[in-house]
Amino acid sequence: MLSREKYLELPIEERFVPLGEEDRKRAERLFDGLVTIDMHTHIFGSVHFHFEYEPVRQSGMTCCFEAVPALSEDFDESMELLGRYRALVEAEPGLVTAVRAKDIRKAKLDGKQAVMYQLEPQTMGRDLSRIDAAYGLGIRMMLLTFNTRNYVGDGCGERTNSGLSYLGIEMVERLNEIGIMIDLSHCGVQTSLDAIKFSKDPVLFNHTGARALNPAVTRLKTDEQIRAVADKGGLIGISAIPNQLSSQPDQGIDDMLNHIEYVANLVGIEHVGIGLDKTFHDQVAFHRKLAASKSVDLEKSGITLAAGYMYGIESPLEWRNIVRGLVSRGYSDDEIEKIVSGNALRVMEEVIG
Amino acid sequence: MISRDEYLKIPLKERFIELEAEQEARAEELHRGALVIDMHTCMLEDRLADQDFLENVPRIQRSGMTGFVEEVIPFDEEFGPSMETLGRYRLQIEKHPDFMLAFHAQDFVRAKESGKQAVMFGLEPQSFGRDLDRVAIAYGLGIRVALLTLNTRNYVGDGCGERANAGLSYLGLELVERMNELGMLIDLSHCGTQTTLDAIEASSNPVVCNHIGARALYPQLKRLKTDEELLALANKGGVAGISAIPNQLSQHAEQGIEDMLNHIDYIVNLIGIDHVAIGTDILFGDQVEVHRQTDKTLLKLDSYGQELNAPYMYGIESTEEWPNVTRGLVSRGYSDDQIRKIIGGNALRILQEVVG
Repeated sequence: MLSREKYLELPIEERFVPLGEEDRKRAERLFDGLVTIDMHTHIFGSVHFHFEYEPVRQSGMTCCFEAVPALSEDFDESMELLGRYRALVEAEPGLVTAVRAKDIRKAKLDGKQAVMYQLEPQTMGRDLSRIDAAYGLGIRMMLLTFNTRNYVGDGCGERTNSGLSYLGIEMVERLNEIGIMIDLSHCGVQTSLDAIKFSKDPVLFNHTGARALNPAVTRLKTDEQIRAVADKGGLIGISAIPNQLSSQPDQGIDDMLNHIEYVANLVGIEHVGIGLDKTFHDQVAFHRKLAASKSVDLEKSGITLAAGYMYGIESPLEWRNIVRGLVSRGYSDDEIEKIVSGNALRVMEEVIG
Repeated sequence: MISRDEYLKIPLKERFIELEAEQEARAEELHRGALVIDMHTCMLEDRLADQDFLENVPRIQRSGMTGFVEEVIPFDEEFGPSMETLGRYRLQIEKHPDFMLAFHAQDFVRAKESGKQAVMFGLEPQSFGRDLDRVAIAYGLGIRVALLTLNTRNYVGDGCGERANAGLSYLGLELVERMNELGMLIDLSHCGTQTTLDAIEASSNPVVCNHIGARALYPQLKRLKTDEELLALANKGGVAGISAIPNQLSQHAEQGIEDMLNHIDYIVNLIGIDHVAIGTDILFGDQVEVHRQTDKTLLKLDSYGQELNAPYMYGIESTEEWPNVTRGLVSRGYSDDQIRKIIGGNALRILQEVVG
């Protein structure tokens, strides 16, 4: 396998899934014509703030559902970060802030890119009135926990596997009432199952994969969890985070397509979406740094840093390769539309309007 | 039963357990001579009325206590405000000539020698959030005891009123380690069973449940400790402080000093005389009224099975009734040595071991 640097020197066409001429044209037509939604992005960097418009433009995505990553779980910090992100979006004529599904469709028609905001993880602490404030400032999705415990539940890397707390149940109720989507991607199994049970609205695993394909990684979701989200009418967004979908030294777009296929076979194509969780930078180097600083304990989620990058989907610049990959795996136009935006729009319309 | 107001108008002596003349003399001498420590109090601030601390001072003085661990109570678990409260409390103590601050076990001994009353500070619950550097900050500002959780979940564990019964989180294990290193005493009184057991196991120092009772005597109340928890606590060299909180020792319409003594008897029988102390949790004002007013918004008494049946604790409702604990122990047939251990000796020992 090439080094990440050498890989990035390849012309973009050579990084893509090879297709015959007809399929290539079909993939291009689909990518240009369809609304494409990435349910979990870090276009402003993750943890370390950094923004450039040009790569976002080149990615061609219609909508980035950007995660505000206040790992401190401090509310003020998360809202300040949100304000900085929003200011940059306001200042860029090619971008527009979206707070409901129709804003995304409108952005596509206007030839713009939409940015929505979620909190990773939620920073409400013990004060649920902050949910109203976060909604007012533009938040439309929240992760209930990160990898460790908080006031509402246990994360996937916690030593225990407890369910939602009483406050957690109240939080789910309030998020339902106000119309904020619930993401359970980093929650532990029992906290996920409780949240699915107590939520009136569909919920999401918006950046994850199937545990069945890589059992070591507790960050991925069991068949039971995936079925429960699907039964609720929710969405499983497949990620392209290196060293989560696979623990092999070579990882890339094929792993992502394997997880898409597995989840589609398990619960139906109506419940599959995309939530890449990618930055424009070296994600593995960043994970190494996090692991060294002990701010995120990857080992406790079963993650080993085996691969240096994800070939074919190393950054959002390669977003169109997802559509090429889906074409190569034989999905129909309708199925591809559902995966790249249709299912996400359906859930958004139902939960946030 | 008469109302709380009427009860408190009864002359102090008449609220006490009746003793034979000889027992009476013995109780008085014991109480005067012993080092008496209340491991858990909330006496510096009236949570209902805007009364000055000075109004409570005569009652504290009449208690005959050598010293007490006063709780700073950040119900919102916010660190900044909890340290502000600590600052205000410390100011009150420093400005008063009859009190002194206690940061070490030896300060209680010095208080006894000098005739002052010593005040050590606890955090109920800890307000460190996810930032364990705050443990050292709180220590630096004078905190020597901290509860890992109150009744609900936080970053480190589940409280006794939580719907789940999770053990300590990884952060919880780290917090225990930090508190061990610094010499901050760990209190598990409000923690759920598994969090309690995990903390006892993880701690390298003895720990306390400093304001509790025995679940065996009141099985419905999850706030009380099971035999399993009490035995684990004692095996670690820890101390159970028996409380005098109304409606947390029994379900009866009339409750008082006898309920407290029943719990002392039970726990002494279960884990031995060396592991029992007193942590009354007596407030400046009317505790049942505080429970009533904060039930819906904060305490959620239902969640751990507490009912508000009795309006006060006869014989141990007010701090000034503290000598009645010693009298009660005399009436139950404890020896002088045993009584000295319960009313302060065991508390001093664990403070010496853990806080230094």
